[in-house]
Amino acid sequence: MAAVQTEVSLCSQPWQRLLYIYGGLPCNSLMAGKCFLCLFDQSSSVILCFLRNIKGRSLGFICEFSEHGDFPDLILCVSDSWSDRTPLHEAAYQGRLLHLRSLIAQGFHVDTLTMDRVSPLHEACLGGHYACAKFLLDNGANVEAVSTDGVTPLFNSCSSGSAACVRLILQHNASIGTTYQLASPIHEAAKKGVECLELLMSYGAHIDMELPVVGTPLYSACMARAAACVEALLHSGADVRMGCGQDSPLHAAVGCEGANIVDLLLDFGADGCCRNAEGKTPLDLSTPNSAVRAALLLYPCPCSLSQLCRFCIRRSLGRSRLHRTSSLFLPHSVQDFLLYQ
Amino acid sequence: MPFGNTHNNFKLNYKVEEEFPDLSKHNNHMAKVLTKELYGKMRDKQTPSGYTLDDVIQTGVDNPGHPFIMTVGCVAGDEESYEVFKGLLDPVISDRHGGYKATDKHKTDLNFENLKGGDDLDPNYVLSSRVRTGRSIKGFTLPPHNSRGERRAIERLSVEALTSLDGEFKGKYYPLKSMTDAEQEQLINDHFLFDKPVSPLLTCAGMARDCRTVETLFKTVWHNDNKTFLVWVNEEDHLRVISMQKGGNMREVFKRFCTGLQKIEAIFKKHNHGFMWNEHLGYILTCPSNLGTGLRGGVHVKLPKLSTHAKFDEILTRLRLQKRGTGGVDTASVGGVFDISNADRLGSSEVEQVQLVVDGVKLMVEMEKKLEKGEAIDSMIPAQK
Repeated sequence: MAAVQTEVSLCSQPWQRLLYIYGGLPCNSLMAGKCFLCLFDQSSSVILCFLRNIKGRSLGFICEFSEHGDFPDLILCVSDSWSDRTPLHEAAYQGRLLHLRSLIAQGFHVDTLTMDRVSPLHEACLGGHYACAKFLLDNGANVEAVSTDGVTPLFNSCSSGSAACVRLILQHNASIGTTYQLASPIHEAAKKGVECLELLMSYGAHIDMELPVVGTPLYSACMARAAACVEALLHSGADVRMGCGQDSPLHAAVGCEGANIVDLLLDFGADGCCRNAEGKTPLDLSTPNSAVRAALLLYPCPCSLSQLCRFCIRRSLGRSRLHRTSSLFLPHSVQDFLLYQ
Repeated sequence: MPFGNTHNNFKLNYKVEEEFPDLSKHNNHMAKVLTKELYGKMRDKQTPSGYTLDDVIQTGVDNPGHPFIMTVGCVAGDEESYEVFKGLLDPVISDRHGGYKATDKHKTDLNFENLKGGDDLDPNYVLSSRVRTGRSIKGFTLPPHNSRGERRAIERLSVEALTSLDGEFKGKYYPLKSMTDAEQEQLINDHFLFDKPVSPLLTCAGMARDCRTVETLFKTVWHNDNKTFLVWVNEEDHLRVISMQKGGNMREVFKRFCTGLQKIEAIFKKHNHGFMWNEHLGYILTCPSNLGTGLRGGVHVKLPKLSTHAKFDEILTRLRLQKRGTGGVDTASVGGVFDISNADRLGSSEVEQVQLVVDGVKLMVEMEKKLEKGEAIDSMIPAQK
């Protein structure tokens, strides 16, 4: 029995008082209707409660009174099945819109949760099914639902790489920050697709957010060898030196054998001589005779004066003002150079 | 409709490739193992009760799976399924249970005295403790395949066995037989029925058949007077046995679990119906994931700090434990409450599995206390068990 207690008022006489329900429900949101049918069997002190949601779907519980007439603990709280995913979750994940519509019409609650607090909207977004996600949101699905693992529909949309789902969720005012320490939407987008990433950045996502284990979005993109995402982040002013602890994005790119990413990072001012927690430089980590090693060795060290000036000016402008470069009184060729165009 | 094509003998008129299911987009153990050749070799086999390969795999064909949930994708219909279809089921079992081999022997130990400690889990953190298992009764087919008559016979046997228990196991049996036909009729008309299983994993395995009949109007349940020992009859397994109580005394929960199980089995044996068991697979249950002990020993534990630690999942893996949400009506308000239980079922004994839970949870509570004080826990992270 869980320690969680929920107060639910009973509608019918003679039980006009609070019923404390212990334990979890497979479909938490069925609590919403707060409507009970109670059948009391005098001979065995047993009460059968049918909890119904607004649309009439019922879930039964067997409860028992003590001799003093106190309200019962709930005996049966959670089906101990292999899977507590409902047909609603399956239809949403598989993108079966007609089935989803029919289930909602039958009275399934739009925010039915599994034991791990995964909602159908989570599943539609994970499958990258825009139409299903939109249908669920139009029917009142919670855009901020958070699973036991701290995952949100926005995170799952990024995970599926569906820009349409990301846009939809953002239009419904989903928060782009995270309280979860092991992942965030922008880290996920940085691994999956530049479109999702640019959408999040346009909504003001923090592009240098460093999380334990996963590091910064730039570090995640390097680890995933997502060159387009690395480029987008760098153009938007991501700090090329911030990785994961002492591991720099360049260390990550070298470790993943991403020669084109190594070139990009060096171009944007990555320090080829920085050392990680083990005291190793990117060159130390590179495989002999590899394209990555060649890229590191070919890059002029120290940088040219023009490169150093570019790094310095971009840093002085700061990420939030990079887009204003074109309004500076500078020749177009210099503006383009500063913006890597 | 589950089993739409499984008992159709005309399917043998078609070539293997015409009957072989498309599993290209599936993510379950069955789909990983089943090849066209294997399907061809076994598709015309059946167990003495008539369970076929198509019956075994139907749930996995209908449920492609999920990127985060690796389902098993097959079920047994009777005790013989594990022998007749071992070509498929042995590799699935090996996959699911960490390389368990066809020659390996399972250990059973229901002597609660072999459990070390377990009575001192801090109740400020451990909110409740629970141990559950399943049991299959010899002489009957399993729930995906059993008939109405079999289910009624299992219910009759169970009523007799459970109502004869005494001492702390004396209890009550439901359904509410005292209800009149008119009341039952009214309930059916009003759709006030216990919902039959809705999980597609269960319905596609054929486990929700006849759930709308009057006989199964009420969930078939028995519990003791203290509501600390519970038996479900005719759900996913013939019997589901659960011992539970509030607080952190897992030793008491496990003692009640072992004693209750032994009492129930003794009564069933008197009627020449023991529990299905063999030395390779341990206790035989419907789902290959539950073979062995079928045991899930778990606690609801408050770990708000540890659960946000970067190494939480790694710690669980090293301790051979798994986490789930508690699914509470408003779990979020409690903050960091998890259902922590053993990850293993097959190859280790009941005592060993509960011991892992007891020791692991104790360690995690100590870690939580350290984190509350702002201290590091790196030195406490265990080696792989």
